[in-house]
Amino acid sequence: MKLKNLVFITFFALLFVIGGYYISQIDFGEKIARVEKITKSILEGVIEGPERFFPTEANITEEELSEINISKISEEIGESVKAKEKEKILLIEKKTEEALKIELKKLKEEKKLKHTKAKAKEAKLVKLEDLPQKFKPLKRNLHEPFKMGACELCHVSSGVKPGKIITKNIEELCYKCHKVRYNKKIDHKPVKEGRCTDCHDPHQSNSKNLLKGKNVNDLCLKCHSVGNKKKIKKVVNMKASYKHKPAEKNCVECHEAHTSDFKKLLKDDGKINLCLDCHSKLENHVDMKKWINEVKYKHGAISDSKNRCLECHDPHATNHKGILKKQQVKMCLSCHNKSLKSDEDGGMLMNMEKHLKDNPIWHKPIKDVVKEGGCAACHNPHGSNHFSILRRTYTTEFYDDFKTKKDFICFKCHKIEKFSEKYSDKTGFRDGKVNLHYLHVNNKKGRSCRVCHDEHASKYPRLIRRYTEFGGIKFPMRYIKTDNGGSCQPACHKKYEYDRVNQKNKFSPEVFKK
Amino acid sequence: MVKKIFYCFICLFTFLFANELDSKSTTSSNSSYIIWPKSNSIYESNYLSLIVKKVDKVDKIIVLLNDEVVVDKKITPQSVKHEDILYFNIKLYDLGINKISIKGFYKDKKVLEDSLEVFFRSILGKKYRYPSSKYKRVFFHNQENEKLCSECHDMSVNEIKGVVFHNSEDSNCYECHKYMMSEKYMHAPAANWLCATSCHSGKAGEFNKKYKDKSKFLYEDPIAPICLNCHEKFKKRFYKEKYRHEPVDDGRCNKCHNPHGNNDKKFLRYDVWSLCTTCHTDKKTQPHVVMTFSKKAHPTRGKKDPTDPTKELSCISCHNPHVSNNGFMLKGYRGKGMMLWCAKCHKK
Repeated sequence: MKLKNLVFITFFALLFVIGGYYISQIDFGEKIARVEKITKSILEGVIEGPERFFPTEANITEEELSEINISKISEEIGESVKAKEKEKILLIEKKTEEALKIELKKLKEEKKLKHTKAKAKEAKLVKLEDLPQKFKPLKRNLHEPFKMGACELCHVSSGVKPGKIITKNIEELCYKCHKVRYNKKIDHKPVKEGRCTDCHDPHQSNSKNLLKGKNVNDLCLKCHSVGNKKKIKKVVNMKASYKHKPAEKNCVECHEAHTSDFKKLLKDDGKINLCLDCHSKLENHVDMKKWINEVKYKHGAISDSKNRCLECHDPHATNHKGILKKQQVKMCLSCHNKSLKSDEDGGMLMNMEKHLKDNPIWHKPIKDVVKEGGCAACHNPHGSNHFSILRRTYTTEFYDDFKTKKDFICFKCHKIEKFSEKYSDKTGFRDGKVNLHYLHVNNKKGRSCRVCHDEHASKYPRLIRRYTEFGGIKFPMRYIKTDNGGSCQPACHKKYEYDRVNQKNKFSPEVFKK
Repeated sequence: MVKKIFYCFICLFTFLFANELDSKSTTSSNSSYIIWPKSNSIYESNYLSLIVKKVDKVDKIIVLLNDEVVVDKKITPQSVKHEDILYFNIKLYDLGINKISIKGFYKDKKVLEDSLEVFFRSILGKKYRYPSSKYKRVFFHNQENEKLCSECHDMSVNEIKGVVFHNSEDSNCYECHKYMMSEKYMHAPAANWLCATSCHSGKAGEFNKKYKDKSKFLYEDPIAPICLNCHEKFKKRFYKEKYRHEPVDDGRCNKCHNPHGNNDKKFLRYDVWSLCTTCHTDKKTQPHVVMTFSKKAHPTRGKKDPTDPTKELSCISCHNPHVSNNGFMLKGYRGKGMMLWCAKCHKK
């Protein structure tokens, strides 16, 4: 008995140990964290709602106001100074120790932003109630010296004219307090010329950073609007029907207001990096960065062109869908107006402009761009995993099994019943009620769509090709259209006529055999 | 002893050679009205162009092929395009020797008569493959003969490589060879008059080296490389499988298939059974596969194919005419034994 008990106990003990080990192996932590994340994001969405994506101008409290003075700008400047400091230190390390010490001291002195509050206190203060009429009523944001009533900091106190400024060089005046100068490669023109007051009000404003406009965009467009085209080259037409959301909302999302290391005062290389910063994170969108890099077949326009994204898109606003520079088809034809070399297989691509010019009957997406989507209805201009950057599969073969044909790009729009039913009214290509599409497509040797039809344009109705290619030989289709049907005389068979009303040919059941 | 045999041989060769010379001299004088074909020439195509010298006083002409009237035509000044030449198309049906004769009439009186023999050769089967030495292969399209028609006919190649005439009548070949289009099923390159750029390149192959430079439009023999250029699917299969039918191995597709077109959908020269039995002659007379006590053998034709009820039973119901992985060139059932193949039709 005892032995049996012992065996049982050891057995259960072992079971417990093994079970415990397995449970410990399962990682709950990650799962819980994931649930937490999901609930958090849902809650955030519910609480903040649409405002989350379109932040309104926040009201600023009095306490914050006092801190604003040199706040944000100085922070940024501080960063750039730090970067410079590092560079300098690196240089200095090479020099002698003594020189090093002296220069470090100088640096430290430079770094210390001597705030002029102390000076201001010494100056003659004016009470806010005593301010001249033109400053009343007071606006939301006040310049710190103005708020304190230290007019003497900038204005001559005992001058003939009460409003006279100490020095006419406004740049000098501003940099007196806002110590650090901008020191990146490219400056905004007003910054370069020291016209700070062009954008900022030195006394008070209703908007952040004492701007002269209602908001940043309002201010920017005062100069960069189409009306000023004579004075300024870089203008933006924000009245166009399709707008880039950041451009509509806030220029500063992409541009720096004062100075930048990149062209056009952008925050990053504006051709692609800046775009992908947002377009790889946007919800309900494909991760563009990943897509462009990993996709099998790449479109030369973004993968190795000069302007990359900006080759086709305008970053601000245009009258064409997708903020394209031109109407969609014209945009594509601006490059495809000559025979281009394909990266895919090294072959030459068709001169599409010439092809469309020569052939008056166009495929509907090309003909009706607005409704059907133009070239992009079938091709993905950002790249694709299917050849010829098509959105779905297609074939280059003459014969292709209908089983694989079913996911052809063609069937995105054209109903599949037109091809899979033996007797049908749904297609015009029929003799009586015998579906001739079925005959061509479904037999043992199913012909692919491209055998008879040209996908882009043709001289003949129904986009029938002039020539079909087989075994390296171009065979004419010799298609003739009649009122109720037509006739075809390609190399595949002798001349056959078909008529939708009066059936012309007799079809044996053999024909429908698979 | 050796010397004697050697002399004997020399005698024999001289005799043969003399005979040949003799035959040549006789042919030229024999046909005076028929300009083309040459007497005792060999034909490989079933269509024949007949050119006859016109005599002024003829108003009706009859052409006989093997004593059957093929052409019976009244001749008016309007119907004759060229002043001194008449042109007819004749289709040859029988292999071997064909006798062509013409008779010209003027007011129901026989004015002219001429006849000659041509040999319709087939590389299919031994019987019509080797004509006697009397018959010679003669080509029309060389510089000398083309002079005959060159005043009116342009016989240069006007096709562009890889592109077919939109209107087949644009081809220079069309005017003389248009009767080839009368077949029920036409092979695409032939129907679209891609004669010279796709097949009749003037080059000679392994099997017809001796005809090199004799014609502008000679085709390569074996022709398979040209055929497989388009029929790529076969190209892969032909070298993959274990056994190959002899013509396939030779690369002479045109043995069984007529490359221009035919009444058969697959351009077979005859119906399947007679085509196969031209070479496999023993299958005509001897029982096939089994012999029961009632002396009934396995049928090879005249019944419905049990595997495919729409077709008639023929050799290709069981055998693959090109390549196969199984013994006896049987279709399907790879390496699983004959019994399974039999069971396909003979279910219990």
